[in-house]
Amino acid sequence: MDRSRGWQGSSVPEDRTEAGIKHFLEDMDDAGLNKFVKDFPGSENCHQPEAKTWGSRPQVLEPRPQAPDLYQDDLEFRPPSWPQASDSQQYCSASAPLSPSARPRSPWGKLDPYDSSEDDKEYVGFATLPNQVHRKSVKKGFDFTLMVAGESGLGKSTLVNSLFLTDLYRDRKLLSAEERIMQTVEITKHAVDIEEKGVRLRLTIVDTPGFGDAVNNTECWKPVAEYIDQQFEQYFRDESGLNRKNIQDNRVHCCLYFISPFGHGLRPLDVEFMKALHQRVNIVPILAKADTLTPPEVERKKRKIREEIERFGIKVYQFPDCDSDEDEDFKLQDQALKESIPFAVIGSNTVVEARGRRVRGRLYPWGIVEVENPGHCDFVKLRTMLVRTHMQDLKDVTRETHYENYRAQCIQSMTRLVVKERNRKPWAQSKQVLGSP
Amino acid sequence: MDPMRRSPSPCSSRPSSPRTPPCEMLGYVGIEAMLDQLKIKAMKMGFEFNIMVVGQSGLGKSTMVYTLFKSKMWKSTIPGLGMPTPQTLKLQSVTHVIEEKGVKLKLTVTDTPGFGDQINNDKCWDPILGYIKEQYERYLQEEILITRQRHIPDTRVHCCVYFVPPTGHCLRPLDIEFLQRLCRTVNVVLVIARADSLTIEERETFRRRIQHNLRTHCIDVYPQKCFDEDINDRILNSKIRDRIPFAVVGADQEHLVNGRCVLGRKTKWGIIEVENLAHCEFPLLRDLLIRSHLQDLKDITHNVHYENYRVCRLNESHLLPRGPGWVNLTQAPAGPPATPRPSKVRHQVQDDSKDDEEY
Repeated sequence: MDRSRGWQGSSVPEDRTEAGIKHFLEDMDDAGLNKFVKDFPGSENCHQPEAKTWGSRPQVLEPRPQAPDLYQDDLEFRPPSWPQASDSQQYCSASAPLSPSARPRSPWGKLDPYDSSEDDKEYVGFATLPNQVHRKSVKKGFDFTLMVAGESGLGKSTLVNSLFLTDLYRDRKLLSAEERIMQTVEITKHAVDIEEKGVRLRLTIVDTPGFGDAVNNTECWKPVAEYIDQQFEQYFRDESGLNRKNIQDNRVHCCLYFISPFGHGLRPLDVEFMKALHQRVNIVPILAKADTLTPPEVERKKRKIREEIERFGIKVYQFPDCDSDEDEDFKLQDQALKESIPFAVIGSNTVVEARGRRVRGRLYPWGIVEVENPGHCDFVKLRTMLVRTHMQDLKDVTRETHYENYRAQCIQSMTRLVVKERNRKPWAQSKQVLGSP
Repeated sequence: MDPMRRSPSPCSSRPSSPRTPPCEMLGYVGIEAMLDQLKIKAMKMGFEFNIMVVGQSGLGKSTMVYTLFKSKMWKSTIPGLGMPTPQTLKLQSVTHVIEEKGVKLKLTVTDTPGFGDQINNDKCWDPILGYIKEQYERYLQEEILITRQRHIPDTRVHCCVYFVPPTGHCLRPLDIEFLQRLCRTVNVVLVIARADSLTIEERETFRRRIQHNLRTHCIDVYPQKCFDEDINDRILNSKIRDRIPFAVVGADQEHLVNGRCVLGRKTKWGIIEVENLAHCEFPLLRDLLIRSHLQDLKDITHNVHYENYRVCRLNESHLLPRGPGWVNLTQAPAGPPATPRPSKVRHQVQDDSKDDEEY
């Protein structure tokens, strides 16, 4: 199954991707290996992961055994160096960090013992399991479907571009006023492949142009809800089918809902939309265009929106509670994240010069708003949450909760249909009997 | 329904690093943090692995399990160690949760005492096949429930280690019969048991003969050629396939060799070190099973063997056993099952041997 072709079209040749992956993994392993050597011989090794991600959990046990490197194939299955070996191939052996200087020779043979470089007798080696899983994930790549919903003009497209550093909407044409009158709510999909350090992400953005723009917006969330249900149904059919090899997962993993900063909290349309969708998709509320508000105003609005969300019983996406054994820093971070809902964000498609650096921002006569400045808005928090820490959790909740609910409902309604059919039949039959002369 | 207009994928799909981001900013999104997230999740959930050991009594199966997992498993609980041979084939499963460097593994070992020990061994593979299929059935039942568990407990056999007695000649009829049936249902790893009774040359001859037997009878042991995904896998797996079956020796006692304490067998003419690649190929088996291909074994079991079983079940019942027939089953014949049909493999036998020589 040649996935690389299916994903990237002809843009990236296969060997370059493979080399990229290998490079990335080798770099990672060298760093890990060096760390291991430094810390060995300790009993338990609790490393800090490399500081390549922000906001990821600092305490990650990184099992880096000294056992043969997974990615240097030659080392693992090097045949024993018998004197009469006729193997013409050259195998390069990775240098074991702890070189066996005093490796004894076994009395049973004149041959060098296999360089099992671990000194720990109890070491079996399944601590490499996360790496094995890891390697497969890197090969396969990830996918993620994000939906953006909200009225026009709230900066949705700009935010998506800022989040993923793409320009998905470069050639977008904004509709004129006359065209907008005729417009109905549509669902559009844009897909883009992003690759960073050998890790591939297939990102699908589902947009809802026309939402909330008409004069009469009754039930304008219906197309959106139906779209989400359609994806669930498609997946359900695929999953129950016979050939499950290449199931396309188009289920919506997260919905960013944009709340206008000009109102007084949630408006009736916002409430209706969120209530219609909170059982189907993870909703993350966003306070859009936050640069129109001063910090105290932002605080006030956030609090009001949080209160209203609670009052109306809207179940937005809940961040999972962190474990009790996490350190204080992480707990504080987690707490701060929970209290930032809704995220007050600013997006920008332009780069400006600020404080001697080039940053994404918006230039006003009274100053420059920096998108990636945590003091200016919650953009960084949103991106960290969405991509770096909670992407997997969003997918898990979609898969385990929303999809399972849909599936259960679906099965039950089908069962009811079947039962109804069965119950109707005997009645029809008796009618026929009575009717016959 | 509303039209789903799919905009053309923009040509700004970024090339691999180094790259120029569209607005010349050296920002990055941080996607590789996904790998960390996955790792954390995997380590929290823990892993499962189910292994079955099959072979005649006295071939050192239980000792081998002990050697593989060392003192993580208590000797007394390993099925079959020191117990008398039962009259009929009975399967015994023992589960342990073992931990290493923060990684938790729930290991289930199924032993098959009594296999091939009777006078008439006809159909002695039936209980084993039945057990394996029962595990698939259990998983299938869990999967079609209306309210499913978040994580379906996986009791399917991921790997079956088959012990071939060290006759030095070739595969016996019993071996061939068993392997033919089992390779279609489960991943089989072939080992030559008690290899310390063979010299190095004898081992090589035996190995080549067994490989020839396997090819003649179209027996596809793990790692199967048809599941190699890309060129790296192919190269690595070809090297493994060249050394199948591994000639292994198991031991449960430690001896002092030049100041080091090693697992081994002590004889009057020397000490056989189990972890010494010059003495036996146990390290290769261990690396294959645990350090490099464990996840792959599970994936093939889940994606291929289990799917084949599921397709057969759905086809034969036309409705799922528990549900009221609500599933839209495509009545059309299923896609080609993943295991190659015997005729095809036979045809490729000559090509295979040529391919192997390339690597």
